[in-house]
Amino acid sequence: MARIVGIDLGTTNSLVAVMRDGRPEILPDPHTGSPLLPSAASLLPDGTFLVGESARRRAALHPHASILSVKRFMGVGLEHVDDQDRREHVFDHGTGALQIVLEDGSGGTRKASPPEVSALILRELKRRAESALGEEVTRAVITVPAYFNDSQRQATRDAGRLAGLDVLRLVNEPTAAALAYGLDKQEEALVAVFDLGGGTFDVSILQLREGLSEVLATGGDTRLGGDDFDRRVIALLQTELGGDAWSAEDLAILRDAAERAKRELSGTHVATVEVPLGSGTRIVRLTREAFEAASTDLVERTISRCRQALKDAGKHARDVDHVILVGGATRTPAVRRAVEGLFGKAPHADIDPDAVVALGAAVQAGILSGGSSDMLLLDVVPLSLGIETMGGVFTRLIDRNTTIPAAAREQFTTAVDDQTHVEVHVLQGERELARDCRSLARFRIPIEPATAGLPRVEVTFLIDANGILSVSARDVRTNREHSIEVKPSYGLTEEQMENMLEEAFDLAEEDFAQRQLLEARVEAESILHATQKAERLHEQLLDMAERAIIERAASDLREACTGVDHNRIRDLIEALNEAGRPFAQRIMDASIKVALESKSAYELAG
Amino acid sequence: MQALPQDTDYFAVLGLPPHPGLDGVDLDRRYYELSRKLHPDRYQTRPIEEQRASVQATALLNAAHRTLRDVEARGRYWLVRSGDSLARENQSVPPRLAAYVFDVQEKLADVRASVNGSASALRSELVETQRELTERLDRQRAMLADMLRGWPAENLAAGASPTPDERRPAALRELKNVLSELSYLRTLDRDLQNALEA
Repeated sequence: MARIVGIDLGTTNSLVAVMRDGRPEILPDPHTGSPLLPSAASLLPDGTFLVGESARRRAALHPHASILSVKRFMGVGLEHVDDQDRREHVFDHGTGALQIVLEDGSGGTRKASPPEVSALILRELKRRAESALGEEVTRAVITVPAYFNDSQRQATRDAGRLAGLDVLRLVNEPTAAALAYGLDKQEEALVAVFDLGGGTFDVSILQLREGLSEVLATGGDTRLGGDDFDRRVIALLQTELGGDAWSAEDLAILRDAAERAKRELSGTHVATVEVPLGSGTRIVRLTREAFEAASTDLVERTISRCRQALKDAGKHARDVDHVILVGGATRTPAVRRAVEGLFGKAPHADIDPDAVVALGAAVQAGILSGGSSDMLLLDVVPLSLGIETMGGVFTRLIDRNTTIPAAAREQFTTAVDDQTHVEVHVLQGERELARDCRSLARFRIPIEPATAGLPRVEVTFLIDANGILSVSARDVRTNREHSIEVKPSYGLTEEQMENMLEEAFDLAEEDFAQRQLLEARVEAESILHATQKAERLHEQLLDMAERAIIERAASDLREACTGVDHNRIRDLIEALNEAGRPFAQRIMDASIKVALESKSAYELAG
Repeated sequence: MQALPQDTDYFAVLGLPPHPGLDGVDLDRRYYELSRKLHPDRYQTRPIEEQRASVQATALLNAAHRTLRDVEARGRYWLVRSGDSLARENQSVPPRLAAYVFDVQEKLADVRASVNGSASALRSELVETQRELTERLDRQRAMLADMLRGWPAENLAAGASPTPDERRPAALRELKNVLSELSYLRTLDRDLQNALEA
């Protein structure tokens, strides 16, 4: 039987893994060897998309053609998009489902729904897996944040389908992490999984016993992650640099610099970063202290969500036997300190926190393939489910943290005489009033008219092992039944889905060399741009002879880009890099000198 | 979608003798054993009918486990199983709690009516009241657990004619009292919590 792959479809990066000889293994990019695929897509002028590293790099130059964190928009409505995101992207909500409007670079635009964009990423991972395994891959286990609601989960399944993958199971990311650590083999253990990814924070409390893993409680924040820490660093950089007019290009450069600074500060107490702004390259020094002061509240938020999850699980921090760190942002020392402080024990971090979820997804894929038979995951619903009853009250049928599959059935009656139908409004949330909960679906069921209070309508909820809800309602007296599979309000309609599938398959098999070429061209474009900028800004550091050499290399590269030989383009990129290396070194030296001079001037003044 | 089997007994689902005390029963172990057999993950490669049946069976198993593992849920279930139930809109004060409830509600009314000056003293009094109430809830749950453990056994011997135990109707009445008191105390606790958060 064909293998099932495990996929971590992350906000910032995505990975694919598979079981090989009883062990989970990441399948890296066959060409670069990188285990991570940046979850980035960028629209090219010819209407096709670049995906992954080249898209992420292209985003710096073409922010309005690119999407970096599409997972934020999966299964949400326009009202859930925050100001920061609105500044970065244009959204359209015309047809019901949220769409992102991308500029194609030749004056036109193209709308893309979040599942479509995610499907591009999934298709890339599928290709990766197929090239590594030498066989077709059609089935996958995909991980989602434990906090994802029904619409977001459905959107993820839609993305899988668009990518030509049968999504056998959605697994909560923290649960996958525990599987990767093999903690399910423990006799009995209480595990907290602290997952601070690029864009989401999740904490799960798992009870492991005799090869069974049970989620006792989950908590978190869909809008808290490493990106938020980056934004704090960006703000620090902006203060250091002065000025307030930041072009989109500058902001992208700042974001890159912030990421580098943050990474560096995980290992050292002072980071020095180069910020190649449009107005000139600047060198900025940041201390870990300043970074930690600027992000205290973010760390605090993660800890308070941990406390809530512990409370929901009915456990104390000291009861926890193992703490697992997941997500690149857990490399931040302040985060580790806070986690250790809360639980009173050092967290596990032996497995690369970026890879651990994908590895766990592969383990679950192995379970579903029948490969390993002594493990079983017991999962819970993340949010309560119910219906609206008289007075706009939310009546729960299934409580948060109920183990799935789950079913519940209740009888309801009418409030008004001679009603000819009742409306079943399906909701999800923890609030008392229907209007404060998320609407998942509405449907009407005709009933035999009668005096108020006499009709009996039996409503049944059934959640399958994937957390997908179906609802049915039955007029008990006539035995007429209406059932629906809950179509989330922000999801795609069946028709939209069909159209997208057709389009997807039309575009699907652009050949590999073509993609290599596109990626090489993007890289060339970005180095040519950088070279031109450096020449303009640092004219005084360049003599005629050297300029001639660089210009020659640049023009060779430009010429090669009009051709179709990606290897030649790669070679000439390298040549241009080589030709410009002494020049780049001088720019660097000069910037450092300026930085040192301005510092001593400041110290003298002080 | 198929309807769930009607009136399936939770004790039967878990293969346990129908006694609300669950004395000496490792409920979790039983539940895990059955989960291993029934869970949909085990049926991924089986025909669709088997997959559906597995979802239904596991949903029922999960409901049974969730109900029986919690003493209050188990008590309520036992009441329903014995043909009685707590009225859903039961808002009248349980007689044995009347004096206590009156006392707490008076404190709540004071806080609601208070102006800023006296609010903080009243607040700390309210915190103390809530702590007391938490203890009372714990005692009430312990009482319920004891009651369920000592529940008069049904005559289950094969062939024996069911001899209604004289004590059972009285025990059932008392179970209902204890449960409705518990429910009322929790409502009170929520009111206190709301007042403290306001």
